Amino acid sequence: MKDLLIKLAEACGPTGVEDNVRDLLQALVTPHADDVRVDVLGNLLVTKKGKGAARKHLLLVAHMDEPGLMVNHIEANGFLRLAPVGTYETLSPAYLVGQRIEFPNGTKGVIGTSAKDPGDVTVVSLFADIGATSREEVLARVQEGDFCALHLGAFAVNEHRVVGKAIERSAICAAALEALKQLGEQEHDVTVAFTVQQAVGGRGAKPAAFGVEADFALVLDAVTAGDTLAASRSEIRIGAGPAIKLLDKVTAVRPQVKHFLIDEAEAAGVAYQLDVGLERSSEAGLLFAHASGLLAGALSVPVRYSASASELVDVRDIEATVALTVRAIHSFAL
Amino acid sequence: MLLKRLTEATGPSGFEDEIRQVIYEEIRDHVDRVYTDSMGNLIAEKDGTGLGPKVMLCAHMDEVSLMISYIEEDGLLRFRHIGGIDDRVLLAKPVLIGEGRIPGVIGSLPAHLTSSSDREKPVPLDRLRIDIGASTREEALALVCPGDWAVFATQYEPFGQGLAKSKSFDDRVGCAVLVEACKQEYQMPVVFAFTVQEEIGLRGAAPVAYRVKPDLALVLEGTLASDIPGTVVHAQATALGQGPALSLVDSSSIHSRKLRHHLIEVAQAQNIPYQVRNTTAGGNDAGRIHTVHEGVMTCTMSVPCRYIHAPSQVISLDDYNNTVRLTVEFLRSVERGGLER
Repeated sequence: MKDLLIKLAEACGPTGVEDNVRDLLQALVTPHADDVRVDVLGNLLVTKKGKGAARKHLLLVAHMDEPGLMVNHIEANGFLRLAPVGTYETLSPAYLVGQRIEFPNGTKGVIGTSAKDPGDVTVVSLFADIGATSREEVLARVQEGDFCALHLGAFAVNEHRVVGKAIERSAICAAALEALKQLGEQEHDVTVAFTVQQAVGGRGAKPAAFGVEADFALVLDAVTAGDTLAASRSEIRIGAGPAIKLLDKVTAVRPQVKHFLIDEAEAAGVAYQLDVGLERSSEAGLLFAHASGLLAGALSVPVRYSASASELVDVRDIEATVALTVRAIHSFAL
Repeated sequence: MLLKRLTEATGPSGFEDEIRQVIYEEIRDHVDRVYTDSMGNLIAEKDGTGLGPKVMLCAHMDEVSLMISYIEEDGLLRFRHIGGIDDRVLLAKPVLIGEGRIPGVIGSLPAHLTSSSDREKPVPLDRLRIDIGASTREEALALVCPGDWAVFATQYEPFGQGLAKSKSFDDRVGCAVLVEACKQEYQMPVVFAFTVQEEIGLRGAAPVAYRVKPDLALVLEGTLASDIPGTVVHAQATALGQGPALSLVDSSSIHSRKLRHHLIEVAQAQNIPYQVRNTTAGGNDAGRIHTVHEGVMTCTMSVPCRYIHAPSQVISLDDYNNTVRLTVEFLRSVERGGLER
């Protein structure tokens, strides 16, 4: 699990350009699926048929993207100008200075600024250096509109905990992949939707769900843990199990879904927490109100230092998320 | 003149009746079918003579404008925005109110009656009034009523080196591109969608896209151009005279890279100038279109527009003509099977 997490975290999958992550996942899911396809927006839809006579269709959602930076201008002397996309828009631009970047085609670079004082760093003052000395040289590798992500290695800090950029998507995708592998024979049809563009507002989720016509969606999500020295009112801790989503900015999870997930967690002896946070949107909320409506719940993996260059998760939380997901799929009867 | 007819027609968000009628009259002889949906979107379809992907071109009919909210005892009108308008551009501007086009002026105090600290900041909306020449509420009520809308009184006018001004190039210039493209014949089905209520939350586009179910969509817009003194090149969004602007990312969409690259190939092959829109600010109907059904390949192409969302918006007529050319050549290329999807 740790190796998979590190591999996923180090892949370059900025929001909207998830191809590298998708290719990695597609190779891993194919042996366990009856049908694998990629839709117009780039969602990876993996279906495993059920054996039941009166089976339903369950949708498991895991987003593949990470926040990114877009090249919005290429200077004549070969420097790039960047615009943050997704959750990096809320980061102070000063935080990006000195970071290393990678493009999905492997091009690498570093971010600098023309500001003298960290307090004066604006997005407009940022630039990236990929070693090119002219616009023409850049254009052979990078075009305006191309996306890059931060480029940092991931590693285990101890037996259970892993640090890396994009650990959120890695934890979620690893959990979905592992759940699919562990399913065995199941009654219901299951489609795992590895979605795109979560970081810019869950734009992949609805198109992914549209063709599936599911009866229930279980969204795998992340939640910021409040168990560090940073002041926070969150009670969520890492290592204490997945957080069953109750309420966020865009949804109030239906009581029968909440009780179902809590009952299954207790029956399986899986530690869980409850996720009540109005700061965060979720794909669950979008799906709940999608088309003619879709019953939806979510399990959130606790993540420290969320949306930073170095997020931290506890592998035991991911394993517990897998256990609860597999059990919920097998015993789904809502 | 098409741009004059389209830009001088009125069409505040939610009140697009007049502009819809103008567009209807321009296109009805060129399409197989034209109808209005329950929201007021105008949808025109050309069936084409052969198979091919169904392409939707989209431009919004509505314009940023004002709504009368209250009539004072002294006959002056309070008002609110319809769509995003920077209050700084309102002061001392002429407006036209409602279908009767009642003239009015957004009033201002002479400088000698304002304090030096007041002059340092914009006059807030709650201190602005429209003066229609009435001296009592009754006199005013004979002409206007709360709920009436007002548009800027600017007339279309070419000026300078190939530029033109109007009150509503955002997005009547996009509507004009659709009207021109509509006059050509295509082998594949092409749908021309003129949407409502874009300026107040992209409300018209998703229902149209659900109905039309296009294989690919191109949104035609008038967009930000900040090519004015004091703005660094990489923060200008677009610049006048450099051709149609292709969107990269904005607050509502990550525009289809594949579609953009195809547009660039067509532009290069046909020797049509183009530029990329280098800001992530703003949003448009593409944001609603690309997520309908199982997803739609969508991109935006815009005519750069200085002083957007203000009374006198300015475009380059060369940019407009090149946007028409690139739109038609794009359709020709898709028709020939040039776009791999």
